[in-house]
Amino acid sequence: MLIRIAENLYWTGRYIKRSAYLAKYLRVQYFSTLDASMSQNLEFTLRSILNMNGMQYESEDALDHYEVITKVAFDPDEPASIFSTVFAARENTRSLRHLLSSEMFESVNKLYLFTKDFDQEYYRQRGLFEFTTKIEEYVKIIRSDMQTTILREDEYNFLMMGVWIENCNQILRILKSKLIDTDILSDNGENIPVMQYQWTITLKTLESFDMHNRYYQNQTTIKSVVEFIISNGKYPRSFYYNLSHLLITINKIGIIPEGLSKLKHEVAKLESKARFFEYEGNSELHDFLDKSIQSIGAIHDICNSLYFDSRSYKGEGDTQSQSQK
Amino acid sequence: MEGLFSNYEIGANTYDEMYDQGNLLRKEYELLQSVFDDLDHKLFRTLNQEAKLSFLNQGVTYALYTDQETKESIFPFDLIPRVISSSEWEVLEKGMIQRNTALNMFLKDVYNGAKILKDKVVPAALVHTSNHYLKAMEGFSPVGDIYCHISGTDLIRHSDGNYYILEDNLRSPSGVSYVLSNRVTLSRTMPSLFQGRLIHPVNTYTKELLNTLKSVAPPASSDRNCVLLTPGMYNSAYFEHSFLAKLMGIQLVEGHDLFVKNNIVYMNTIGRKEKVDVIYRRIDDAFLDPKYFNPKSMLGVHGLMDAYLAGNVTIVNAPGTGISDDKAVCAYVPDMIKYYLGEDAIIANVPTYICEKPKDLAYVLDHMEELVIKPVDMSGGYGVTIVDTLTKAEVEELKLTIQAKPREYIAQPKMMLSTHPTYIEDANQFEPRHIDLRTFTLMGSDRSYVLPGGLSRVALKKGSLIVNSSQGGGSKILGS
Repeated sequence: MLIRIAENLYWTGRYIKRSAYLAKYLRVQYFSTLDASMSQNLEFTLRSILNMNGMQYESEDALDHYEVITKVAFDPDEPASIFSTVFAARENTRSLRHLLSSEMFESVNKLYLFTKDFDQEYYRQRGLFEFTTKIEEYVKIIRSDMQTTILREDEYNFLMMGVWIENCNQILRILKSKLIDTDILSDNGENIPVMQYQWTITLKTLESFDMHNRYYQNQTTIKSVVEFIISNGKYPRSFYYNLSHLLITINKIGIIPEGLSKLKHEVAKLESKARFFEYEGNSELHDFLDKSIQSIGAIHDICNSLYFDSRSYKGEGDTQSQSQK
Repeated sequence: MEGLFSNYEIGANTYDEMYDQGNLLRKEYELLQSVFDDLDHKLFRTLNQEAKLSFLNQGVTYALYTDQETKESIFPFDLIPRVISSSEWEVLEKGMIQRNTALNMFLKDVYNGAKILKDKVVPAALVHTSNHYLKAMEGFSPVGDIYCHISGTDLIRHSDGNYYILEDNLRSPSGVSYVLSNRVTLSRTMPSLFQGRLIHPVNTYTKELLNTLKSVAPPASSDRNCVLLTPGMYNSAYFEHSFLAKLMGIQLVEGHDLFVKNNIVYMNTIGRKEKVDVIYRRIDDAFLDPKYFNPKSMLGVHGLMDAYLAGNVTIVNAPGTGISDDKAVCAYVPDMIKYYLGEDAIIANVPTYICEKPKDLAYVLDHMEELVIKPVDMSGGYGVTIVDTLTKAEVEELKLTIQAKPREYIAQPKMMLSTHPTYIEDANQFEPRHIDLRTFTLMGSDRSYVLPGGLSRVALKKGSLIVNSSQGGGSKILGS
């Protein structure tokens, strides 16, 4: 497989998933203010959204509501906006269209056209829910096309590598963002129900509210939520679940570059930490999340150097072996 | 005329493909008429919109370059198909194979002994002053002596009802992907056009193309590994590159995906290096190899020509085929056919005046308003001037330009291209628009194939004779 193609596949997987997470977080956070305490005012929510997206802002300035929600959704100059993410997904897909199924390409193209052409004034006035819901629906269709129209060869494996890594990345960012939110609320003297509401929002962002309720029988605490999201092996969006599937995918890739054992070791180490994670307090949780975010970044860097660095593959002898299929 | 075409008005002195001058329907369009009788304007408009949306969602696009921006647009098309009868097509097909056989023999001759030049059938100066003549190709013969494997020949039907060759496109002719996409769209939108009829299929093209590529792989290669070399996704024809690579099941590569080592071309793959045997390149000669041509090229592969001249890789179409693309040389193709094959050309050229010849230049300068002036080495309709659209001052300026560099221009009489009913959205009715026909011919080692029908291009602007998509033209679905 061409190095360039492998890299495009990986980033296609990442950008497609990212666009859904951004849309979901925006919607759930934004509408949560409608039914929340006074501390979770609009400004608090807008800051949370910006933090999650990694967008810069002056903390002392009052945030303009329409400006923020438009920036998060449509700003082409902001790499973390939904539009930029969808655009990046589409551009990667364009360079892969000879390889991907027509169905998948068309789905990605429709997502792009929808995002590009959505009436921004309507969005600002009343269209945020429709816009973000539709983004998620398109991504679900794309995921379905990935599952059903791509051969289970390395094209699929590199796509999924991107998906798993992005899932891990977004789960950690969401948790970190929520932890910061609850710290702020705690500093503002808010009570436990208010905090619990934040964790309920977190579960809804990850579409895990119902699953969590079934597992913990309607007992929502920070401990139950973070342990569910980080370590539950049966919950398909848990950090642990995604790491184990990342490891499975790496093992399925039909090429064994030198240094692969290092990648597997890093993933397995983090997987083990996730699997046996127990909540011991906010401070420890902050530490765990920060270190895990760094680890995911390191795993991405190793993947980059192993698979996508063209300096490794100029035919300087057949040093790499190819596994048996 | 009836139904959807009740307001259709044929222009005087033009050949209309669907109706004759007496407004009688041509025989080959009888089925079409019967299918369209079931439609009204509203339903047709709906079908048209659905087809457009389908193209948009599929990303069947073309990039249009302006001074300010590059805009990605769906490839304009018209749902009313053009019909060519089997008997008429048979003649065209034979004509294309004859023409391309002669052109390949010409290229082989010019780079190996140049007998046709020594016999003064084609002026040597014309060939050697062409920007596309490559000294590096002298003394070299590619596999099967085939230089031009894929050609796009543009034909027009004049008001006398005959087809004429307008020009040959032997470097990177584009448009075939739109033929295939248009046909799929038409079959989905109007299946009744196909039911019970013997329509020549077009979906065999990519299989034939792949077989053609494999037939010219270096004899020593066992895998016959083919790739399609694209400038990248920002190229105007990128949709076509990815479309063809996908249907053929071959790798789509960019310049930096390949490297040359010991005169062998390899792909930049993860794991072991993978040898390349045939490169179907959609990059001009100038950008192909920075070692031999433009040293600043980021699109090509350093050392590719070394591998090619060593016989370790085949390049399709061969470097240096542009001398036959040259519109001045194109005028001599009937002479080439006579010289190499001992036959008269089955399809005649549009009469061409070569400005480098003093006699032709004198004629051109005296008859400017009757002519179309074309640069010899541009494509896509760029640089074409229909002189009777210019002001007097502009004509005088053009004369000076030609006289300053006569080698760079040819002139042809203004041919009255045939017209075809075309749906005009703004007017919500059918109006005649000028069309041409681009055929696609494949020449391999001991094989040849002409895509049934080809791409019918339509000048969407009323009265315009420029059909190229780069100039705002559209396409018709072609059935034969």
